[in-house]
Amino acid sequence: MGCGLCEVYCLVAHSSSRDVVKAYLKEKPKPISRIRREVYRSLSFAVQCRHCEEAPCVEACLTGAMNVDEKSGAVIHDPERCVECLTCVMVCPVGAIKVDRELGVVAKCDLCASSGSPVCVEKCPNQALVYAEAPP
Amino acid sequence: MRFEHLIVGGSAGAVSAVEAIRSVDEDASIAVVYDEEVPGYSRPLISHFLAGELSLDGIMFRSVDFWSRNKVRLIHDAVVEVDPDDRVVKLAGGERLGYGRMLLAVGGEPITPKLGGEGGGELYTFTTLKDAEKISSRLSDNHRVAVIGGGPIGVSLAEALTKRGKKVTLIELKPRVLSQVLDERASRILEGEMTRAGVEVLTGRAVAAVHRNGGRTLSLELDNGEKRLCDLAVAAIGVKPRVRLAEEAGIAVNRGITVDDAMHTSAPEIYACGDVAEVYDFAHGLHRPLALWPVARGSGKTAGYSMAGLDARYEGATAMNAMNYFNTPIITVGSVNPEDPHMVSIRLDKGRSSYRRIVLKDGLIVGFTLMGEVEQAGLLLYLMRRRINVGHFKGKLCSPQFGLTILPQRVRREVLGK
Repeated sequence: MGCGLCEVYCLVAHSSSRDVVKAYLKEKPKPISRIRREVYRSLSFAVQCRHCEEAPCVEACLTGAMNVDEKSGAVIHDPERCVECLTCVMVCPVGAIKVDRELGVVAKCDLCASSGSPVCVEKCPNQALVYAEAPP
Repeated sequence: MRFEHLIVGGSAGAVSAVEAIRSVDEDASIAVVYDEEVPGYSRPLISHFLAGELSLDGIMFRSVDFWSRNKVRLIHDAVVEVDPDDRVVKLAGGERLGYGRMLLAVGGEPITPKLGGEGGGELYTFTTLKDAEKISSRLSDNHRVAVIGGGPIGVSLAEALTKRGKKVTLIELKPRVLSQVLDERASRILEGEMTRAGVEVLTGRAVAAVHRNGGRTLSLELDNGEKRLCDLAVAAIGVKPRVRLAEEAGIAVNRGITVDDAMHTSAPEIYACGDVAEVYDFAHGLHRPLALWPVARGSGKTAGYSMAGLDARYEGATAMNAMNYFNTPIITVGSVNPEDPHMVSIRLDKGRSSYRRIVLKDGLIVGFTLMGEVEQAGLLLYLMRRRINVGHFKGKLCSPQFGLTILPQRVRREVLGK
């Protein structure tokens, strides 16, 4: 239904205050949502990193910032090593990598690594977002 | 000594090949012969190193223990001869190494211009870590640097030097910078940013001669008779595949080493990948050298799988550049200008330095430029690579709503892997 709550919760979950008002109005640098909501006519959509096997972003990364977590298989990004070269953005087929111009890095879905469960899925009022392994 | 897998070169292609081989074979013996000081650093990051933004550790795209963890024998030497009949290589140090399968991942080398004048031999180049270190060591007591060449290497160098507080003059033969990868509009916007940052950008100008001007100062004589004084000058006019080893071994070479889709060369058990090889360009339907990092990584992976005995195919690439020079995000892929009468382009401007332009031919995307907002580049590249006909929604390609929702359901499902 395109409510956009996933974006709001994602942004807050990746803010330093974890407070919706502060995250949107006060925090510098401004936190960004790693999920993108698209609405076109009656169709709405939320897209985030698919954590691809053989992920093109991992293959393309110039610095080694983009990696596959050996345990979970998730594609993880280390902002400390990122130089905002944008090569990953160029090759991500779903456009799931966001550019944080203020910090000079890219940002992507980390499956809410700090809490263990993706907040966009948890808070989706329509159960449109599901967290599950894709069929092979 | 003999190794089941012998890899010549220690950069992106070599790392990818090692990772691929080890993913299918934990035990095969692997040796890597590299002729630089350090293997496994990221060549495109040397400008960040020179700028002082990244340390040596920062440009290592795999940690220093990558090789030992993967049980790779590292040999710091240069291969001077390949004997495909006996399956041995000869090293500069005199040693001979046998191989079961070999990979030539030797990359490219800078093209050095032949310039007149007695200072013509004093130009630096900028393609390796050592080059960056040499230039860096001259910067503490020198201020004016001339960069000859306005391609990706020259522009990234000009940016690094500017960040070090140097006064840079960039001289480009073509009428605009990055003319191979940008359309005119993008070139002009970037030139504006460069000028604002303090770079003197001279386009449509060639260096005729380099003269010594007393002491260590050089005087560059331009083709219009003007002169520019500098303390050091760097030639950044391009790179070419390092094909000498292959040529001397009788391996088929065109502009780069000729390979099939498995990255196999004309010689038995010899593979090639990365900047030295001619990979498949899906936009032009032919093989040619594409000196690009993702290509080196992808083709190196395919080479590694092939060497390990898998039936692997490299899907190919095309000219593709993600750039962020002078804080200006730009991604361009394929044809950035309509190149023939069948091509049309559509464009949407969003302010002074943000726009997108997409070049179409017969309903297919053949190239695009995104400047400023670049996050949708990968989706456009996907549509282009899969040759998906966009004719009936081309009006939406440049709209702010462009994304998965405007795609036909079938295509959207394919993108999302459903």
